[in-house]
Amino acid sequence: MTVALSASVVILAILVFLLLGSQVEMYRTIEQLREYSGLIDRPVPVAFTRSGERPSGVGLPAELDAAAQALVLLLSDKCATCRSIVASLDGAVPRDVVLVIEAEDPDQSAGLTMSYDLDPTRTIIDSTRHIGDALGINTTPVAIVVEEGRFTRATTVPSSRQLYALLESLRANRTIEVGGPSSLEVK
Amino acid sequence: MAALLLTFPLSGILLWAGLEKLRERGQFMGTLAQLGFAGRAGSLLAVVVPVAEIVTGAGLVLVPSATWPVASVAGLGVLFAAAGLLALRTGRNITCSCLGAGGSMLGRRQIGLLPAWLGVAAALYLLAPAWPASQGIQYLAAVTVGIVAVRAHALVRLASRSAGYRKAIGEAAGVRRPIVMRAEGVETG
Repeated sequence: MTVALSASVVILAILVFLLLGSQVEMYRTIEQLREYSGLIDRPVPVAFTRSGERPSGVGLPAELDAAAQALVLLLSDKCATCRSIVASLDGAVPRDVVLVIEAEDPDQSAGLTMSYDLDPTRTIIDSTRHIGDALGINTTPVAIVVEEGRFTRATTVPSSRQLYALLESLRANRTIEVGGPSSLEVK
Repeated sequence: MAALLLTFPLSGILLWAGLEKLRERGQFMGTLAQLGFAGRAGSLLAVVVPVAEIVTGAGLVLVPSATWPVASVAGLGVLFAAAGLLALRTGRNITCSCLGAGGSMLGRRQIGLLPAWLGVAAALYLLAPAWPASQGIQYLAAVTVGIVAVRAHALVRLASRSAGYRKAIGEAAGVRRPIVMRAEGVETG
């Protein structure tokens, strides 16, 4: 009886192995198709010339200069991906994130912040686009990483999951607190 | 115990390799054709090699006291090294298909692994594991469930990545207008 049961397990396991193998193959094929068609949800580094500079130098809140780690998220009111990212925040802007919303129409952007109930203390409406111009970045959505009070790099944020992945990696690398956790207060 | 630690992984690797070669027979036949075994010889080898791997893998666990599974391990090691040598002689990059479709290139690695195959075969011969076939079938069940678990783990990782992509594409599907409107700006999605 035990032998028969064990033999059945072997046969079933081999069948399951082959079936799972086909499924693995299917997922790999889908990944290849995604890459081929350019549907890649992968952050891409953005050319950034202000690395090493203080955030306050481009018109960002001076409190960022004392932040151990923070993200400046550059968004546009005309960008659908930006809207989906803002919507995913659900009004709760993480304390280590500052939103800079570039507005073609300042009134519309104010509407955006209100409709998504964004924290006004962490949201900057850049109606004159002076921050984006000073940063030399013409793409949105883009996250600029601030470490030890200085810009370090910039990367595209193609989806909200990539924003959270970036935040997680940034927090995981947190080693030294400069200015403490409450240092980032954007007025 | 040492015999079990050696037998179980080896049996699992051989079963995995044989089953995957049979499942992706076309890919394995492509490798054989590049090595110069096209036509009937290729078709025959595409069945004989994986079946030999499966029989050896099962034999190691089912009849551990028999000499033929150990001899077969050494023989397979020599066969893989010969395939590596052939691949080097062709001067082309030939996909290994060692553990299924794709994988690394056939060549120096297989030659370098020959001492390991021979060493494992010698160790099994010297350790001379022995248990009855009725216990062996239970061990074989454990080995096959083990390789299913490894495969399932890979599948779960791929499925989770795919779910993340689906979510991201769902967000991107909402794009109806150009994303960036800058006077001198770059438009991107």
